[in-house]
Amino acid sequence: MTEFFSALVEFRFMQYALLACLLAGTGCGVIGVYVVVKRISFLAGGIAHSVLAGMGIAYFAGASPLAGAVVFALIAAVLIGLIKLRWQQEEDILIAAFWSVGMAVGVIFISQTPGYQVDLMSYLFGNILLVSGKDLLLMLLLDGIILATVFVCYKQFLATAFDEEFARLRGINVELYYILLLCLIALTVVSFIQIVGLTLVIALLVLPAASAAQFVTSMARMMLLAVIISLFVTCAGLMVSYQPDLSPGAMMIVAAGVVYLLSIMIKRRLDARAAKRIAPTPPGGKG
Amino acid sequence: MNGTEVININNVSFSYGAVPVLKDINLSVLAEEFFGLIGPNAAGKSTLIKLLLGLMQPDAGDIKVLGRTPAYSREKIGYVPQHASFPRNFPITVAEVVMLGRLSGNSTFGGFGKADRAATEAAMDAVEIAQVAEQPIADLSGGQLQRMLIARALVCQPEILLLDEPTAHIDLRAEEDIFSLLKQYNEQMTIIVVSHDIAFISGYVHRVGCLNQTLICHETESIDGKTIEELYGAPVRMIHHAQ
Repeated sequence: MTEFFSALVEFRFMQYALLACLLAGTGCGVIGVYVVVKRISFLAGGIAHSVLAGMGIAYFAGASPLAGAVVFALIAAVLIGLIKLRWQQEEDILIAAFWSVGMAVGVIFISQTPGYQVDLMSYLFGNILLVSGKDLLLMLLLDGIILATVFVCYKQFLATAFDEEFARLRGINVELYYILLLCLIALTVVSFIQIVGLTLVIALLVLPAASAAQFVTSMARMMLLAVIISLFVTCAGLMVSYQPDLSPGAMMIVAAGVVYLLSIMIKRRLDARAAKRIAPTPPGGKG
Repeated sequence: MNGTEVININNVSFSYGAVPVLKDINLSVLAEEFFGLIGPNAAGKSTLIKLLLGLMQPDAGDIKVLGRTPAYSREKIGYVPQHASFPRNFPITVAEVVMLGRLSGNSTFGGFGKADRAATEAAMDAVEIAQVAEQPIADLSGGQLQRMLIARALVCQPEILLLDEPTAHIDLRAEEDIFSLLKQYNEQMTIIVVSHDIAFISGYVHRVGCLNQTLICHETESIDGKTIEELYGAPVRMIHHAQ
């Protein structure tokens, strides 16, 4: 543990890594709440994996892969949203198609790019120790967009997430907000590519919010708690992985899994205790 | 009732694929009328509601709500669904659900304002759920949930209140409470209530429409056992209400 803190003081890449955790964790806590309450984690997974196509194409063309990821993630989100709204019954097939075809396209482009090929693994599983100052700026920008949109459209998002039919009857453009939400999910995914990679991002999107859901009664509070939990698991993953030289991204996911498991167990214990408190005394138990 | 027509259904037919659900429906509802819509299961009651809300389009015929298309006028309709179309474990409090009824297509962005909060409190007081305002919806009883849905419909001060089986999941006493509450609101707005329980609602409504693919309307006074028998195709026990 002390090695971690001295490295943090000493090395710029560690400071960048910690900042990346804080930035990505904030956006993911907020957006993860929508993914959990709308139960669209696999749809988010489809968007995440199809992002590889954008990164591969950008890499092949010599552009910044992260810029390619942003563009393609937004395209994938809008396409998945539109197709889903038109042909609702085939959602699972749609997700599977985007998931694997997107990855296949990415792999093809990356394999055709001449030169040293090390990047595929870091796209898939992230490499937080290679985060650059430019990456941090991109994350800051994405966070800003995500938080501002959620703040501005809080009512509309809440209404469509809670009860689509009623929101539609109140004159809310449910389809528009649905696609906007998918775009925010896409941006959140991109901000995580450097940290845990696009295959593991779903766990970080879903597990902190699902853990928070055990203990809260409103969506705003769920967001706050989910942000705290995701900051905790990303920083804890980074810290624990440093000295034994484990993969930081993988440790974050394991930490998120452990927190989720604990939250379920604590919730059950609390429920059992509450039930005991309000249960009537058994007959003859008194006097 | 002041005689203005708020709903006009003109020769409307609707079918799901090849299955006809509604045939040549004609109906005119006046402002401040309390109209009961009854009929057996699968008679097309919920379908007619969805057409009135503009959620589906009729195959033939024409519907006007407040003189415009249903989709145009729907923000002036307070709608109470039969089944809550949301998960009961959603992290949201009663007050927040009611407040969402204040939304409209041209709502501002950001949070809710002072007027929204005041209207929400008034609506919760009116249906007597102010004491559970800050509780999560998962903790509500069936009757409290129904009251919350009514408050959500009332909070936008609708001109028409449309209720689909509002008392299907609650006991008789709560049912009486809710109908006397509706009776009060009827002084300010038109109310259309769907029910399968003709004997109960005939004590409250001005007019009953009996729907079974086709629609036949009766003044409440003229309803007798024969009407009901025709509708349900089976003898029904009748209870008379003192007005």
